[in-house]
Amino acid sequence: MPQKSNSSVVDTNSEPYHAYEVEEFTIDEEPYYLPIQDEIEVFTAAYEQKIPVLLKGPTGCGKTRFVEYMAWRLGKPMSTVRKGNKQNPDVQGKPLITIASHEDLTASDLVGRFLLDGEQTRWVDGPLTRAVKAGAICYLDEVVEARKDTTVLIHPLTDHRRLLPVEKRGQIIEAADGFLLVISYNPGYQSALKDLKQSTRQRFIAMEFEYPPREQEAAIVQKESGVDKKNADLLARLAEKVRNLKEHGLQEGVSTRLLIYAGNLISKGISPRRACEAAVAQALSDDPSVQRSINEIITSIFE
Amino acid sequence: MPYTSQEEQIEALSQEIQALPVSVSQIFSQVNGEAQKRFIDVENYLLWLQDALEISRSSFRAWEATAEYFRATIEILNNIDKQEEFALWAEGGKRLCSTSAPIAASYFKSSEAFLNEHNMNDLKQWINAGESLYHGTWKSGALATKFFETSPSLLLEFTIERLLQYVAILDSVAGNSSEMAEECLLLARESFSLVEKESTEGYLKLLSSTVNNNWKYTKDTQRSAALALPRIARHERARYMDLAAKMADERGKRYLIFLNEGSKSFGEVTYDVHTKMLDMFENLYSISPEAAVEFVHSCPEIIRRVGISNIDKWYESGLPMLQQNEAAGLGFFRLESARGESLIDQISATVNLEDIAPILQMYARGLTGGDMQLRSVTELKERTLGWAREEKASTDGSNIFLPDEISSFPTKNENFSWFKVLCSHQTGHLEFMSFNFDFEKEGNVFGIKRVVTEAAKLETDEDSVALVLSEFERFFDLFPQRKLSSDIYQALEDARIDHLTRQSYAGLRDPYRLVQGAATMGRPSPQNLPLREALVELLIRMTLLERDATIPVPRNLRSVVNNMAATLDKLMDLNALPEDTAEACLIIYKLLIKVPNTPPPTDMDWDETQIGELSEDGTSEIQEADSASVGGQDMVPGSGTEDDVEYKPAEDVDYRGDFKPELVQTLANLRKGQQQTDEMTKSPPLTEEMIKQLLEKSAEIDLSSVVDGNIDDPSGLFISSLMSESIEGPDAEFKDESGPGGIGKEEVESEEELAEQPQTSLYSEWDFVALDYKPNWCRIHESVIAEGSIDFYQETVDKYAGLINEVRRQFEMMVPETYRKEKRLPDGEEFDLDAAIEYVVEKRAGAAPDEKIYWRRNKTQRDVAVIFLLDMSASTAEAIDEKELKALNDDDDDVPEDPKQYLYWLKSRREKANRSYRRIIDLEKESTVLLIRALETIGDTYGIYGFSGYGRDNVEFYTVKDLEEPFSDKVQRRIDGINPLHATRMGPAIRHAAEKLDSVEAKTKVLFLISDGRPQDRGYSREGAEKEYAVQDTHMALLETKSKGIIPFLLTVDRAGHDYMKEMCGDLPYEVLADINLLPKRLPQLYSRLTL
Repeated sequence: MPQKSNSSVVDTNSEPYHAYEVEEFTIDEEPYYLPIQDEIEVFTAAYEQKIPVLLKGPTGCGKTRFVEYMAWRLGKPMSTVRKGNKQNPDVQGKPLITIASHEDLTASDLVGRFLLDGEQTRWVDGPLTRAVKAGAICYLDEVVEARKDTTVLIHPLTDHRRLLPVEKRGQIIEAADGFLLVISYNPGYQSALKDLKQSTRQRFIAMEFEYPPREQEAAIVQKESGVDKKNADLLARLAEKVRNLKEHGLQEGVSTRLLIYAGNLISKGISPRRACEAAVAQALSDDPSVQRSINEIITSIFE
Repeated sequence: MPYTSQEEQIEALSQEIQALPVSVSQIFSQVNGEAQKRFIDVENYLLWLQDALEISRSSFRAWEATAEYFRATIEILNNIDKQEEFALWAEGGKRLCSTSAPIAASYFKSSEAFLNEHNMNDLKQWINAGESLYHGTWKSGALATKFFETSPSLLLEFTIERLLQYVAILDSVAGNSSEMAEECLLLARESFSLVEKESTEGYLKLLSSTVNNNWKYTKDTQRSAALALPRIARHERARYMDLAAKMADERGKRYLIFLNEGSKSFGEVTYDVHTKMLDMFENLYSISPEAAVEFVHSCPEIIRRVGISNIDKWYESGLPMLQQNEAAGLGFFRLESARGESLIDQISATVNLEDIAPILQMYARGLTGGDMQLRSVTELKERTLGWAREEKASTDGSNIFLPDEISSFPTKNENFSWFKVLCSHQTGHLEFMSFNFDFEKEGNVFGIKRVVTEAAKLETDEDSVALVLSEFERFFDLFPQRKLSSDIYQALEDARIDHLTRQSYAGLRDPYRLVQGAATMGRPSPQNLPLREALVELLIRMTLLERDATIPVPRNLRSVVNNMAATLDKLMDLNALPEDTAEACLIIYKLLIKVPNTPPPTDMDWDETQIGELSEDGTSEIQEADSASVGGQDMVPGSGTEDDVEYKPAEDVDYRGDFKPELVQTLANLRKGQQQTDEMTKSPPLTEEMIKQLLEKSAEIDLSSVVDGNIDDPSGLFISSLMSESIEGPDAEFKDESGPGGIGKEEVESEEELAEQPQTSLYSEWDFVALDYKPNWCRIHESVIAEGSIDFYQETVDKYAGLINEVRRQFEMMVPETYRKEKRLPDGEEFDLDAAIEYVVEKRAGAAPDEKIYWRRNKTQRDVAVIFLLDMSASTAEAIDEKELKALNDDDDDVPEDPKQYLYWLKSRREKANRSYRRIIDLEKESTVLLIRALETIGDTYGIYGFSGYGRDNVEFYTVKDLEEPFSDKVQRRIDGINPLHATRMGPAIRHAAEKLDSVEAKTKVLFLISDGRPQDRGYSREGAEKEYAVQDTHMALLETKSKGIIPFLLTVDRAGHDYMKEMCGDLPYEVLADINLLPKRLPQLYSRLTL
């Protein structure tokens, strides 16, 4: 629940963890992102034109990483697009508020709600409201999972009005300049029932993400997991073969994320075959015969 | 005697003999002269005549014996050493004749054959033996006669002592049945000829055991045992007979099974395991004779499946089972136990394609990215498509064909590796694009020379082919020696594929090494081949072996081999394309064509040379010098061809299987052509002429192997199958519906046929005594029920109009419940007022408040799939009212005493009886109609099926309405088609229904079984637990259903159902309906309760 991140600021020196106000969460270090096509240019242009963005693509292909990267890039001090945050002028960089959608995510989860506070009630902004106010990038992951009433909120925010109605308080909030709504969804993954409505999807420009081509994927896996080049190449080859099995017993091909996990295990000294079994065969399916088939591919590729 | 002189006596006797019937006197005249000469002593001659007369007088019709006596005389005289012995012979005859003339006749007739082999001492015993069979009856006489007829030939097989034993046996049999004894005797020659001398004793012992215990089986035993013996290892025959005799002593017919089927089993396995088998048999026999017999019966299959070395393991696992639970052990040794099956799988090293096809198919799809189908080579054979050679792996671009099983290695893993290598090699052809050859495309390694060569060829050769069906055809047209070029190309391309596969799949290197190493074994030795073939063989070996392995190289051809190795080496490049293979093929072809294909001179020097070394010394560039002058001349065989033998294609490498690039590409092109018939320009239309031409040219198709038998024009058949192939596409003959692992006969049927023909599926059955499943025990035949009249449906709807409305209302009420309010949640839409107040109160009171103060509407969408399974057994034909009548009859005490009243009572009773009665099934049907009406209102997925059947092989499963089928008037008519049929085998029907439910997606799944009594069927029982078995299997089937997440519910209208329902259902829900008339009303009620 978004509220959970809403805890008070903790002294980062004495505590073993970092906690941020959502508006203050910025990406300060450059996330590794290997552009496959012109996605950076398109996204930047959309941002400048205040056009909301829809990212499509299978799980673990780098959608979230791309948004993080863009948040960092757009928040860079030298970046010309940065116009500052009205609410928190001290905060450096571009705030990024990520909301994972689930089937019980309601409008009030996004906008905010009244809480009991002693004898009274207190209004607490939801993450979307805060993003609108802070001019942050609000990333709604797997948006089709959310309940239908959330899309009602999105509509006025995503056209020329850029308004967020806060019904319960009788307010309408105008989005800050830097605000950008980014949503993602996985077309293959959801059932037909949960498809995005045309009235919603036509408010976004859409960018299709695929798993990167073999060479690039190998480079990504190598960089992210610290595995050696040979094994990174083999992992990318494995991915290519396993993805052939999509619709032939597998719902989804293996994600780049899983490959990185496999690479992580390998670089920690786990044998490549075992690492792939754990991170690919077992992770992808519970069907023993499918697992076996994938394992056979793994044992063919890895010594 | 009044006569004094011998002459007078002779004269008198002769006359007397002449007076005998003509047949006798004739023979007498024939032999008399000779006999007179042969009897040196007149006394003896006189005696001869006297004996003859004595015989003829001994009984009525004894003249026949006399005739035989005369007829045999000369031969006997030839056979005996002393004339006195003749008297002995005659004496025996006279004795026999005094008892029975026919016996004597038979004796005289056979004695010559007897005396050929035996002496006079034996003769006495022989006569005694024959005599002992005669007990004064006509039948025993006939037996004795037969004995004399047949025994001389029997004595060829064994000694007189054995014969006497056998006669004793025969005599005992004859004591019971002379016919049987006679039949035995008739069979004896045939039987005994199969029995060896050493085994005779045991054989006779077995026979005498049989006679003592089961004389009726004597003949069967005699024959079976004789047939059995040769099947048993020689040194174990005596023991085998002993065992059989021991079994025979214990009575029963089992030993006959042991002799018949048992010996066949022995015959099917090699002699060396016989001792072990008999050891095991004896051991088992002491525990359970039945299991022992089953064991022998199963042995050949077990040995085939797990190998001889593993039979101990199997036996030792079965033994404790048998000791603990005879039924379980019996099932195990009968191979009817699921536990046994899994054990066999475990210990068997054989890998069956069937088991691994789904895995490898997916593997192949992963590797190639195509929609590959994995099939058995036997399917390929049936297509008679040029590949029809023995069990070789192959691919046609969209199917991969693999052998049915591999058992060449000692472990399962190794055998599986072999499969994997086979499969990887075939996928390699696709992954590395063997079939994408383009004649004009440049290779990555060698550059292009094909076009040059073609041009050169065209210059010299005028009648070149204008139209080609494939790029490969164009390429192979370059070579006058097509077979040679095809061999070279295949070896090189396979090598390229192997190299690329091994480079890309490091994990396959080890299994590859294993398989490639094994592949060189059993290949022809190059030293024995004509030179050109030897070089091809060397090339193949180079492609199989590691660089540090050695091959024999003919010293004077060293440079050719060097260059071959160098060319091969150059092709082993990660960037090599099939076009490069073609170039390499050109180069090597030119090298080899200059080598005469003559048998190697005996003094030829062969050096074992390392392959790596060879390529270092060679060069693939030699052709560069030639390339300027590449001409057609290069391509024809060199000079010195006098001793040349015709080039024979090289032997295929096992694991590489058949590689037919030309054929595959041709087929692909033909199909393409078929698809785009408009664009005639692109691919030429297929004519028989063209195919014929292709067939004649191509080295890939061996027509003689395509068609066995004497069809005049094999190419015709081939053409037609090729044509149909090209028209219907690769899958035309497979019609694969089953997706992965599409192997098996059933899939071959087309969809149309399936609708009409009943589908069948197999189910295991639970044996509660053995505590194990009997695998694939019952066969379900599924079919759509015959349609009846639609009236039934309409009538029922009218009849129950009121009830239908009521039920419908009841069901409609269920629908709004799709949204249910859930209270007391930590988070939700709104505060739950009650909980919130409680929260505040508690907080004020200083207690820890419960934070669950929200409520939320939860979507509980109704998502139900249900199957109604109706009992269609014969008992459902029972009239409901008759049952009531019976109940009435039971309390007869209120029968009126008064005659007038009695008449009235009787009349009313008769009226009741005559009323058109309703059957149980009618109520079942009516209930179904009601349910359908109700179910259609709430939109649940439902199926209605009926079941019945007879025997385990014939469980009928009728579809009234399939789960996914929409309701229609067809369904209405089918309801009327529900009729009482045969028995009730519930288990398989439940399993089949559960299987159907399992295949649909639904949150709630219900299997609703409506029955009228206990499950019963032929063979749905076992000894000692007739009813229990069926109940237990049904129980198990219900449990299986439950474990699939399906709610089983049993409703019975059998009022006596309580006694077994408890046991059958355990803690699963069931209901016994007290009044069957309540069924239509109760069913919807139960349903709504079950699915809420």
